[in-house]
Amino acid sequence: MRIVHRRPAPRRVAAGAGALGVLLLAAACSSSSASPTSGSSSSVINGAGSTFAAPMYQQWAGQYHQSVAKSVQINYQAIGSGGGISEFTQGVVDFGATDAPMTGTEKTAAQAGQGSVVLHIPMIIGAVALAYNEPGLTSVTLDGPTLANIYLGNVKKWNDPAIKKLNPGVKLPSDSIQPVERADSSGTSFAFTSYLKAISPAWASQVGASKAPAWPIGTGATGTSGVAAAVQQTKGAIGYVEYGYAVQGHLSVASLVNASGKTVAPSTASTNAASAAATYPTDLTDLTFSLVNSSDPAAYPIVTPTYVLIAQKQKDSAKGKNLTAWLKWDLATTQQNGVPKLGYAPLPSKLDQLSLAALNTVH
Amino acid sequence: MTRLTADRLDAGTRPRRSADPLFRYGAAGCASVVLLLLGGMLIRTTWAAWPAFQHSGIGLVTGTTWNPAAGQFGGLPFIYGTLVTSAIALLIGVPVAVLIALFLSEVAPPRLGTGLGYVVDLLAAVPSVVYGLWGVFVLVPFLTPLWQWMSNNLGFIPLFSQFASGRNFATAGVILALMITPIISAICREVFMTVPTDEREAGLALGATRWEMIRLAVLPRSRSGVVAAVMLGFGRAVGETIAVAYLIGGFPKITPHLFQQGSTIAANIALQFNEAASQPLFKAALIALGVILFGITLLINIAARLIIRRGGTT
Repeated sequence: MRIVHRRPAPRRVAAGAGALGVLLLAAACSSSSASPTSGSSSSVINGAGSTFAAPMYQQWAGQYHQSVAKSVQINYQAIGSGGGISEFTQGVVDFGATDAPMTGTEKTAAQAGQGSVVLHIPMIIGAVALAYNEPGLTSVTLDGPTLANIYLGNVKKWNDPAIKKLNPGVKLPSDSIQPVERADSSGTSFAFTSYLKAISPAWASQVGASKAPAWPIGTGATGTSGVAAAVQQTKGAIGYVEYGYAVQGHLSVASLVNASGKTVAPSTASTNAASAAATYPTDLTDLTFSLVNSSDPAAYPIVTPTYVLIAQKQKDSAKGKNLTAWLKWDLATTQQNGVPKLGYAPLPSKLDQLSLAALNTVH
Repeated sequence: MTRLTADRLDAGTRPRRSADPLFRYGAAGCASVVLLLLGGMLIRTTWAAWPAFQHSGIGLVTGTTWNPAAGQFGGLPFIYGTLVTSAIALLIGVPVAVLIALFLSEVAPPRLGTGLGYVVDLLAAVPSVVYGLWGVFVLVPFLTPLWQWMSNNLGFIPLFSQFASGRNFATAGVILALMITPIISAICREVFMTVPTDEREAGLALGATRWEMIRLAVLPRSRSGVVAAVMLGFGRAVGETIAVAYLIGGFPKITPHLFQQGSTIAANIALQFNEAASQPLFKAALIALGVILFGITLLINIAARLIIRRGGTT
């Protein structure tokens, strides 16, 4: 009798412990005290952040280790731009990577955490593609205001008059549009919402540009791969992913009407057009800028640079030398010319020079 | 006389005498670590969440708008999502789990029961991220047409109307049901096994059928154990993070329609922590959600204990 009633008692404790585990995680993550920098050796360099640029950094890290400096090991974790900023701020990694420039508060926190001025180094340029899943619709053109209205919930059907007007002669289905967005903090979201903010006053006032905006409608997915999976599985879905990812995944992508009124598909050429036409800042301590909604007639409108975050004053100078040597190697012409293979665009030469000049101030 | 005996005993068992207090204090020490950890965690999290409680007050529990950029921290959509998905999980999972356990302990031949029991135990140990990935690539494409069909044909029931996405409360509830069923049934099986064979045989000897024997001898005996198993399942369901984050559609919303997107406390903490890292109030609000989750688990555990006590010993 007693035994029956006593046996399960420890299990109840376990249930409470499960819930506590979540709290413990929360408390552990909340602790802002700096964790010790991982990797005691100065030839092991850890970085984390942007999933958008991850394929590029991972390839460069491997090639550098194999063909340039066998002793240098660069580990890059694709945990998202928000994660990259937070790990870099806490000193968990030696460099961060983000598609969205740090906000004022993020920069203050990062500089306090690193005990140094923190530099944004533009590394490559990428485009954000609008992938969609509508069987029978082989190509579709959208413009900024319509895109904003889709994500505001005002345009609900694929055969909405606004879309019809942009696609004369195309037979549009009457399916409802299922917008998919990133539920986690993401630099891709920042680039996408920056564009919507630039082109739609309604978006600017109701939502704004953010790595993690408060979406008015839609399905939230985790990571670029999560968005791609949700789009592929949902009839009528539309979602934004890094262009190279859309190419590799054979996703249908929409063309967009740019600021000059021209219809442009995402490609390396249309991304190049946007970055070539832009003017860049000259302050090496704040090399941040936006490339969305370019006025160049050949430019794709949702284009973003992606940055590496690095402390100007390195705590471990030997490690700092290895890190800057690798980043400079990434910015060299040979490496930049290989960038389009993964669906990105190289830095225009004037920007490449600025990035190198900023790296030269690291000591 | 007695004294002499005691002395002799002492002389013979000197090493054991020093081991005794060592064991006692060692065990007590470890036990108190658990309490310290629990208390410490509760104090630390509440303290870290305090700015959010000060900023939003009861709005953290009752507010319906979650917009960190605007300083709005209404946690109700997450609490709602947590409770709804857990309820779906229990609704589907508990009957199935209890039936599995009854089959293993009462119906199946002992050898088959033991073998299947191992399989159930193995299922209970599958990491949740595996369930999550499997959910994204297998379960969602499988369930979406089903949900759509239900929405089209049973749409007169508000719960099933207005299908919006394959990632919704119902899908998250199903994956949670799959995750908690093995745990609940593994424990229920153990509980059912503890019912003395005498009582089963007594029931059968009185002419009871197998079902009547289960109903009269096994189930009443096991009530508290089953409730405890359900509690453990509930604990896993409310705290489950990754699988739910993948499958619920990550969108804070309160709606009676199960085929629409939602979010839960644990999923939201996991998804937004990186963004919150450099924003003190946002971070505090997420930790506050954690404290609320702890509160929910505590309340449900207390309720279950009361149920067990009232149900009483038979």
